[in-house]
Amino acid sequence: MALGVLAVLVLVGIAISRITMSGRWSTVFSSHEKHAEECAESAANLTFKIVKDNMNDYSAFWELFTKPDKLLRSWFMYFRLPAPVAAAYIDPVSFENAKANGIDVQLDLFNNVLFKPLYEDGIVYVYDTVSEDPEAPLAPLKGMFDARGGRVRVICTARIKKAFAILADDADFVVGGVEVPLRKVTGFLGSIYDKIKIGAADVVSGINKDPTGENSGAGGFQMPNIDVIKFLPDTPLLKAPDISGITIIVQGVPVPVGIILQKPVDAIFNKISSELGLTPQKIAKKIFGDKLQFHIDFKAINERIESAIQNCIPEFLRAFAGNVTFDVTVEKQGFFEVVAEVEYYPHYPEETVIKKKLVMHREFRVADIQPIASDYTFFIANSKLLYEKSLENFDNWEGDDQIKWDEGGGTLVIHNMPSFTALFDTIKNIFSFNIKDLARKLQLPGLVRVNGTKEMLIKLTLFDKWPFGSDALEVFKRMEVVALLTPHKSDSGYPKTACSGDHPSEHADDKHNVIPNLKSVRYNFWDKGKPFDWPYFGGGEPGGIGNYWLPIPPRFASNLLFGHLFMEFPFSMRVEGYLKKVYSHISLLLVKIYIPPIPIIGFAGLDIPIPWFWAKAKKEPYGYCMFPPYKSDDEAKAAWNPNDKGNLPANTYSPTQYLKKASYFYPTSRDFTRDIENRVIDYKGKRTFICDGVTFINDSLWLEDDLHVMGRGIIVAAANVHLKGNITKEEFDANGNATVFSIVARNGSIVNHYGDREIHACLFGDKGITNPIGATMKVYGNLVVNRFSRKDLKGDLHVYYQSNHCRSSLLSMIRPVAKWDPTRYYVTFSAQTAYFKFEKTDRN
Amino acid sequence: MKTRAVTLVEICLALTILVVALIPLMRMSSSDAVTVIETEKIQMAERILESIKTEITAMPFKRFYERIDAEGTNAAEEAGPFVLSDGFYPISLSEVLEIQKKYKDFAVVGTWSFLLKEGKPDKTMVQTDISCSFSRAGNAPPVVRNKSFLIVKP
Repeated sequence: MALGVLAVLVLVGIAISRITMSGRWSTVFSSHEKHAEECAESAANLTFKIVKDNMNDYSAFWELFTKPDKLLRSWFMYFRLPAPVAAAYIDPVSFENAKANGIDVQLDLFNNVLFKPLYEDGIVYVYDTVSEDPEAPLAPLKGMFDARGGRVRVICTARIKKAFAILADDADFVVGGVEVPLRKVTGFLGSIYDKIKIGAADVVSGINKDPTGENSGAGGFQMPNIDVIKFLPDTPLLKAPDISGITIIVQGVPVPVGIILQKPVDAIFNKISSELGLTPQKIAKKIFGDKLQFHIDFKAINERIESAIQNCIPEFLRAFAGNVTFDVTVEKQGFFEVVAEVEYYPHYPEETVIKKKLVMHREFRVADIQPIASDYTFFIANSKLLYEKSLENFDNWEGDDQIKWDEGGGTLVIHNMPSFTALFDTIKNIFSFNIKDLARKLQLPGLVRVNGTKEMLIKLTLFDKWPFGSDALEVFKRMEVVALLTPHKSDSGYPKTACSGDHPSEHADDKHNVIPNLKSVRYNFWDKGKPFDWPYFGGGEPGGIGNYWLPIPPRFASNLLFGHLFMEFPFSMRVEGYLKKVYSHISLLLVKIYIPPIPIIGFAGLDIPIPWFWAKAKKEPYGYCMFPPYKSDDEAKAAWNPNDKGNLPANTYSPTQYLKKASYFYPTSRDFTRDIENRVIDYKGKRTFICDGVTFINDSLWLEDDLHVMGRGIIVAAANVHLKGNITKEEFDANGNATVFSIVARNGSIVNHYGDREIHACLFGDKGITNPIGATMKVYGNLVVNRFSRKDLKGDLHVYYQSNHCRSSLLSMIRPVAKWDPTRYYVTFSAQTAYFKFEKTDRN
Repeated sequence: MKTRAVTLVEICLALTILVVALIPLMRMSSSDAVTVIETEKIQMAERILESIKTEITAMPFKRFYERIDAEGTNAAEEAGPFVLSDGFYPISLSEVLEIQKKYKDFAVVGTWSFLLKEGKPDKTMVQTDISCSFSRAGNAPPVVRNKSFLIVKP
């Protein structure tokens, strides 16, 4: 019995001892497991960082795009591959209206044989502490892996797990240039934007016809060599009138007053001419400096751009050229997956191994950050089609307003070229730039568009006050006499029919006479005299009989859509819109009334000269007479109809779409202001706000202070954008990429508060733009509005087009391929982890 | 029937066996109590390490830069390791202090350093190493629990 008791006690003792041993072992083992898990987590985090560091590396794109295999396996391209909207390819028409809410429309990532393996296999990184490669992407983890001893082998697989389209809630809402093709650019230069040569074939995306007939899309029209001398003759705008033949009868004796007065009149006019330099060329040099050149070879520019673009699109994207529909998209949101599989050998070379498999997901977004209507300096959409929901159009606005350009105050100046220096530097460098610099630095003039089916009148400005004193140069800058200086025919002989008919000379191919002259007639108040045309200087409204002319500068709100001196012309040389320029047709008559002799009182007869100055307002298609924007009024009415989807400003997304693709969301402006400090870095000694991707503020945005920005992104405010500080930009980031920054008041206005303002951004204001009296606002970028009320502009507004800050690259301007330009998309990861789980490992 | 009494010798023998058997059992039991305490400490250590990790991960990344600035210009050129001071984890620190009221031997130390990329410190990635330790009875070495993790600049 004793032995039995002893045996039992021994067994109990052994059991307790083993439990303790096992506890110790499990403690040690669990420590190894923890280490393996830590390795997996760190490797997954580093993989996310590697992806993040490379997914927006535009430099890599330009270096790799000639190597399709490498480019395709780069993170930059991986996120920007076109993907069909699932099922859309089966029945796109019915599918388009089948989904009320685009958020659950999954993308079919596996339909394209070229892209399928990329999505299935992902991109894999391997690192092993035994056979280590110091160049390996995961090599920075060496220190951490080595710290615990043993061997760590890690395989990280990164890929898009799921992706969804970013569609509007309303299936009828379309995005111009992305989901529907845009109308052809007006004029001969339009074909630069509207077509691309792929192989031997031209791919054209523009719809409808060009009202000038020049941009047929099939080529054929000869690009002109623009000779600015034609716009800017060196002949004086003011000449002393020839009065030498004027005689008047005094006491029955003809007195040649003309001969007597001609010399002093000549002297006065010569003095004015030499002091003010009143020739178009001299004025232009004063305004634009000596950089002003006189020849622009658009043919050469066109050919250079065309050849550059041909080599600018990776081969695997060429099949998509010309596809501007909703069913294939580059924009997407979804989940990005990193799977980190770790093998940890704690006592290497012993074979004991601990395996761990960590799966992590994060949300990602690929958002289009191309500014709205990026090829336009100024765009008035005037369309109800830009509203997605009826709530946005609360006043049931029908669009197609007839804009009253005379209302309001101040001067609206659209500088379609950033500066002549920049433009001509571009022209000079266009053949020496490599493709990367061409895409990033090329400066082209912007276009101007005013949608509407109703005729709109813009009065040309001569002087808003007399050009004397210290601000004479400012007055000259606003002079638009150049609008009347070009003849009504071009070198090519292409008919310029729009200017005929209402032309004062009654010769369609003639040009306006702008030199004032005086004619002496007897009795005939209806004599045509030697009339001349000036920018609007009185004369009532077009169609009226006119009125007596007094040379006093008239007061009206000036609109300089061709910039200073009418010389900063749009790229197409026209304004796209049913606009007419209003000018004054002036006759200066000296009507002599002869009072016959009255011998009884010794009166021998006398001429009474009556100055009969008559001005009458006339109208013609807006722009240079040589390049009318349309051939007939009927064509103009139809061409820029705001209810035509092809006339929408490109890249205008619905509020829901901006919301869905936002990387940052703030309920109020105050939340945004509070977070600015977290998004600011010190760059070149300035506190610089990094704007990447889409920032959505579900409120009016109040920018209370100055803001210096860098990066590629959009700030979208659901309502108004109030500007109380300046916005400046860093021209280029550390990698030489231009800052491309937009501010969108999606359902509100851009409101400048009192004070002069400089805004370096592309602006969109659905309800227009407001500038108070006395304030000068300068926008460096472009300006797009939906509704436009000129009377909301009371102070001066300048829009300086900056081509390379309005586009992501040159490729994004070429409409058949613009949507597929990878550089216009910005990828962001959510900071939060959406899924984190250690799963059973399936590797042996 | 004659009943047999238990002799004194038998009683003494049984008691001896019982004593011999009980001594190690008693020792084991006492050792178990120590183990229970150790286990509790290990659990606390793990919890503290996790808590510190959460706190540091949630902290704005610029704190690391501020810390370098505070340490002077030379530190800006270095990859580390730098001491993980209490200021990095104030909430977890209050937990540690609470534990130290009961177990005075409970200690937390840590370092952080920038990861090296191509031989140079990459200031967008920080490796953090934290150790939680406490002593053991007798001459046994102290228990040390470690945690290493990577923080990437958002």
